[in-house]
Amino acid sequence: MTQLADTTLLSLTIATTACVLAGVVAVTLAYVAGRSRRSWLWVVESLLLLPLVMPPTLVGYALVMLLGRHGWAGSLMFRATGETLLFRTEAAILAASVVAFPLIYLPARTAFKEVDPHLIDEARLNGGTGWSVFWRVSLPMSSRVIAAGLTLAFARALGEFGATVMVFGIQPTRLTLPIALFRAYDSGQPESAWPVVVVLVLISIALMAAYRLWSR
Amino acid sequence: MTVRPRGSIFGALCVSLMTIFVLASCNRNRPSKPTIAVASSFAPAIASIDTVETIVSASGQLTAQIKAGAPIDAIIAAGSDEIDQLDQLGLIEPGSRVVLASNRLVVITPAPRTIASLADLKQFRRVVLADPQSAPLGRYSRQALEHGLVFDQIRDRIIFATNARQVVELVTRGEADAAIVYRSDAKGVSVAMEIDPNLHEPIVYVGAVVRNARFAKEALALLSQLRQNPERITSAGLMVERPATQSTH
Repeated sequence: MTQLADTTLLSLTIATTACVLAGVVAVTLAYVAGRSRRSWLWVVESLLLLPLVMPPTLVGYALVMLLGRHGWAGSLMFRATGETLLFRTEAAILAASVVAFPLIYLPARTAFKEVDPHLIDEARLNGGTGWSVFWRVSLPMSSRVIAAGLTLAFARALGEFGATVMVFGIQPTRLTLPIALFRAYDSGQPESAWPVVVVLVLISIALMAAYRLWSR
Repeated sequence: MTVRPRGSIFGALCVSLMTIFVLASCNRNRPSKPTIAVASSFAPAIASIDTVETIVSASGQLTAQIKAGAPIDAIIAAGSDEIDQLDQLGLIEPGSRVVLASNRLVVITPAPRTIASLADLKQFRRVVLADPQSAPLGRYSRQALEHGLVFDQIRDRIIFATNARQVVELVTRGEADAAIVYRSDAKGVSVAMEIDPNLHEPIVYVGAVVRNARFAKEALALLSQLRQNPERITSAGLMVERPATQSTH
């Protein structure tokens, strides 16, 4: 039972952190990209949206190649600290953020686009500068759509398995809900997965309810 | 007459479903040679035999597949427990069970170094073991570690891999600092210590023919061919079991 509580807590922590991380980057980038036509933004945007169409195992593979001992980022980190990000909670958070990002970015981008330009002009005429217009006009007017996006992103982060199992591995003391479910199945004891199934179903129902509420 | 899109979509759906079923039934494999499920650490010993199809995986997964009714003619598992389980379910051809080889455990590290005892594993940041729930290697590793009460002390440093190959791979790439593997699999890495075989149950490779197998005769012939060619076993880094210890019951 405590194992299930630990597993649930770890999964919720990873998903929440990933959502905050992806949310901040996605909303900021969506706002900036909506107001600028720089071509490098287009490249960054496309790159960050790729996980939407890529299999999670490919995301995991890319992260291992990048963060691993001989990877580009991993070797730098290993030289500096004597270890890599692999198998650390940060790696699981990163994997979850990467796959969750497009689910916040796409709705946020559309929502910002749909804010009435007259309102923005009005705010500027009344002395609003770039970021104060963002905080006081664009963001409040898009908040419901962004909240709906965050809910989907949270669900996706919580359910992330393919990339996570590659960068985080199966750690007996630190399982996530989807990894615990897979492990129970893989070891030929599918009935031991029941508690995990119940928790996942309950969380999913809550998330679906939240999503319907935001997108009403 | 007006076209009803709802009807045409339904029709298209029916046609595509039927196509899938037809293709699926055409594609049912009718193998012409026996299929042998082989524990991944035993695979090198059987690699050059082309009269059989092999499925290589962790013994736990292979037994699960046989329990689920997969068309497998024989199994070579990395433990007698796996065969016992199948036998209790009546899935083993009586009298077909043979002990083919045995193995040892070693501690491996990415760079050469030596450790004196398993308790020294506490020095390492990440230790990879095979998952005791799915691979016999994990079960043996855990038994050895529990014997010296080391398992609970390094619990937080353990990463589980799903089979023996993946364990070696994580150390070869340097992602983990140490691992416990079969001696026969410790290639391209340094062996830091040999583990005393008295710390865990005997590691034996047991072969058996699956009950009512399509190619029972051929499968049985393969098992005896393996017993009669010990050089196959030894060249794969495994040890040949002496006739005296053949019976595991």
